[in-house]
Amino acid sequence: MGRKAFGILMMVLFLGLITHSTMAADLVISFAGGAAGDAVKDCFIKPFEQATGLKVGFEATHEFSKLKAMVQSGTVTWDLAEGPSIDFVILWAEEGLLEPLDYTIIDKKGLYQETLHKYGIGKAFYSTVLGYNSARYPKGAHPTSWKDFWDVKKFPGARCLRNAPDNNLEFGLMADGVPPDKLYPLDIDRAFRSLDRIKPHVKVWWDAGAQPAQLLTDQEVDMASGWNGRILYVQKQGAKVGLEWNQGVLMFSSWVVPKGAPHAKNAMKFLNFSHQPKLQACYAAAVGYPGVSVKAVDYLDSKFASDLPTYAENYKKQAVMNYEWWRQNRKKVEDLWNAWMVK
Amino acid sequence: MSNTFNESPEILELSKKNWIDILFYIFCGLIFLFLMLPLFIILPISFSSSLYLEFPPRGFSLQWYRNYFGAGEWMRATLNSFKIGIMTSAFSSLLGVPAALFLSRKRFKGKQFIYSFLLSPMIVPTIIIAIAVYFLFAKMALVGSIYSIALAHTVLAVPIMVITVSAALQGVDQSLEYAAMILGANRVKTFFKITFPLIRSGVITGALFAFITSFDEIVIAIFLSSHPSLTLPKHMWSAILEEIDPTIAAVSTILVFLSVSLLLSVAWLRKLAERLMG
Amino acid sequence: MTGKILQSRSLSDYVLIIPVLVYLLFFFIYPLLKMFLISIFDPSFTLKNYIRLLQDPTYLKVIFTTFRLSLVVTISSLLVGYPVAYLLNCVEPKVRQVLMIFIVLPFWTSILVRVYAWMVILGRKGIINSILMGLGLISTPLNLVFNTFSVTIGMVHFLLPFMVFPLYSIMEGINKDLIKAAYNLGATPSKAFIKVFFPLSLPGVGAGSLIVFILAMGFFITPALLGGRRNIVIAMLLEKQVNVMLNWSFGSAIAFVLLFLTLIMFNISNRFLGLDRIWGGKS
Repeated sequence: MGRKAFGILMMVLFLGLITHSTMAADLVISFAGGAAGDAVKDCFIKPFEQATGLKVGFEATHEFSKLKAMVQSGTVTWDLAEGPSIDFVILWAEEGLLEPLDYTIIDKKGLYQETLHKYGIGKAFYSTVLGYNSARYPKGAHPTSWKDFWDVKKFPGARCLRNAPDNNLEFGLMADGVPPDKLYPLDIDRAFRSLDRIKPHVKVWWDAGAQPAQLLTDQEVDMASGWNGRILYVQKQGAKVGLEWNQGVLMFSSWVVPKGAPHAKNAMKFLNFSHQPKLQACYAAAVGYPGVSVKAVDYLDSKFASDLPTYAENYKKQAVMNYEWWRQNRKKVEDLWNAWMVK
Repeated sequence: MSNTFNESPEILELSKKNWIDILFYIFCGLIFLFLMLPLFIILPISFSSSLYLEFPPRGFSLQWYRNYFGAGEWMRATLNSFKIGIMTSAFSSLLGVPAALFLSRKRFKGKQFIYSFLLSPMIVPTIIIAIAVYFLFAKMALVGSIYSIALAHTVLAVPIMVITVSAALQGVDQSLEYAAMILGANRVKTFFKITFPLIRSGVITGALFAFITSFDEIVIAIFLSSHPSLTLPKHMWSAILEEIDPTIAAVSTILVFLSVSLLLSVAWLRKLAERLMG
Repeated sequence: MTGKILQSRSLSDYVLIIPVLVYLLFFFIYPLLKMFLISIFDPSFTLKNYIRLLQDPTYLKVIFTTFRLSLVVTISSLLVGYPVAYLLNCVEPKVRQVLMIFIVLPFWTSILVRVYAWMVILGRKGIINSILMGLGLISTPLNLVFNTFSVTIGMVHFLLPFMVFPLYSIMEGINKDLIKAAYNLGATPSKAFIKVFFPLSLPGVGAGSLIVFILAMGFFITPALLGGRRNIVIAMLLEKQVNVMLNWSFGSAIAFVLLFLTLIMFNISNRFLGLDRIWGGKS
């Protein structure tokens, strides 16, 4: 009895090792799950499958290290992945992890040109903004700038900032009086000194995108930096959370193609397809993050339009992240940040 | 106070109900409350009709259970975790039972060393095992398969099986084995007909323990598990970090019930074994 | 020689132990060795990862934080676990079994469930604050989560069985006649406890403490979800290096330093306390 079972198990195991499950898809995309993931599925993938007849598989993941693991071992199962910002894209490209994008298939016209890059193309614009507890700070008496965020006398309460130097250096400088359009090159020392002042009042340092919105909803913190889409989402669900566009930092995420992707061509086709303004409008309306098509806003209901970071009124209040500076200084800043956090 | 002779002085002391003892009881009671509180607090939250972590919950709703059982990744993740748990249980039993038999019956030098070696995965921080196995599987292109997760979980489960089955074997009267062999049975037959039935409840206990360890395992899953091999804990982890969704409270409640039933069945099995062995 | 299932001279018996040894060698030892090689071949032989780790004050501080947290957790577990073990020792077997179930039950539940529950219990709008505010004892909610307090609670909740069982195991073996003798000689119960029982239970204290301490050093989930800035532990840094920074060589070095520290502590414990007793006593 025991021996037979053992034999069968060994066979199952062996078979499993050599034929680990792959889906019969023509294109596999990887992106973070949740509401944003659903939007990608509904607004881009479904229409694409209908129009081209290609089958699209997807993986919900937010771990970039899988990409490195796949490329280095030579079995790439993703064709298209949601990557972080352009500065990381360049770093990954330098490590040989990415496939160059085929702009003969992807039409450059009608797109925000600053999001086009050899190894990555913009996926969505998003901003890190100031979110606050609207029960505690009603409209009119709420923090409207990072100076207010830093002002614990005028606005007492628990703060929440991201556990990364990104955006925080910019916030520190703005709290210290630097206007949003004069931030770069960042004065690192000044930024850290400013951050020193707010550090004791920061209750939670968030790692995951959903945390600040969640913490504000639970009233665990009173003010937080967070991504506009998430904060807006809880607000719409009825949470007592407010959002301030002033002095937000505008960024964009990118799509990348891993080196050695089995269906790289389909990935390029998908990207080109997804740039249609109507589809982009669908995505923007769903998650609050506009894509790279300039004309998309024409297809948007005006009530959604005002929620977008690229909406004129919102856009002019914000600072735009300078990826080139971050690419050059990231390593240094990361080390400084880690040291600063544990001080 | 109590200067009398007695079988168990401690018991006598406690029955005296002086203030030290009462404090002691209260303290212990609080500790047991501490142990049980998290498990039962999830229950009301999971039926909450509001969208966020509120206590006491505002209204009654089954929406989160519906979300769990409905379309989406939760059911697939649960199924994966079940499959992986069963595989882990099976693998670790196949490896651990013979090993325990060997260690408890065979006489040779270095037994202590092998015993420690088999238990060493318990000492090494799981995150280190997770990363090491992750690197290995990355090179072998095995990341993302439920079989790889099961293989990694088995490393954690082997010590559990070895300890449990060794304990069970210690309780077996070896003269029964002698008797069988004197009567002509060979060693293999003796094991399957005499020894194994006597340790069966121990083996099952170990297997259940291995199952639940794998089912609830999160650290290795963080590295090895991703769609389509998403496990339940990994999805819960993502949910805690990514979603604003009390579905996790419903999942937690279900998991607690699962654990309670498994644990009670282990206790019942023990009782059964005791009764059988007299 | 006859009548034994396993003959002392038979070589075929080794077939029982070979599979598990091979398995662990391939899926446990080999990956660890490989990871070590990754840490020193980056890409050619270099010790730069270890030098960076041991010289960078950031990482040294994190190692120190991890040690300190583990110490706090161990002491807390001891304070909570000793009375529980004592209680187990005193009650009748039937009651003991029921109590054991209560102690082990959390152990059989997912750690994510428990951490999530603690967030609910300790949060600003959580149970404790709601009760205290409802009773009028406080006017603003207490800050009970995202700090060392919540991390300690979460970790002690998980590690308590590891303290209680070795303690109980040793206590069970203490010869009750010695207590009787103490009474005969005129000692009060408290004196008998302090002078006789407690010293005899020390091996259990040592074993339990060391197991808890070693396990606490490797913790990741609880500090990550329940902790604040001051609770950044090695395992968290390790995860970040591997999963986010993609710096596998450096991550491997961190892993090995952690492993090294763990093994040292384990060796010390084994030498002084003979942990094999604990493995045998636990079931």
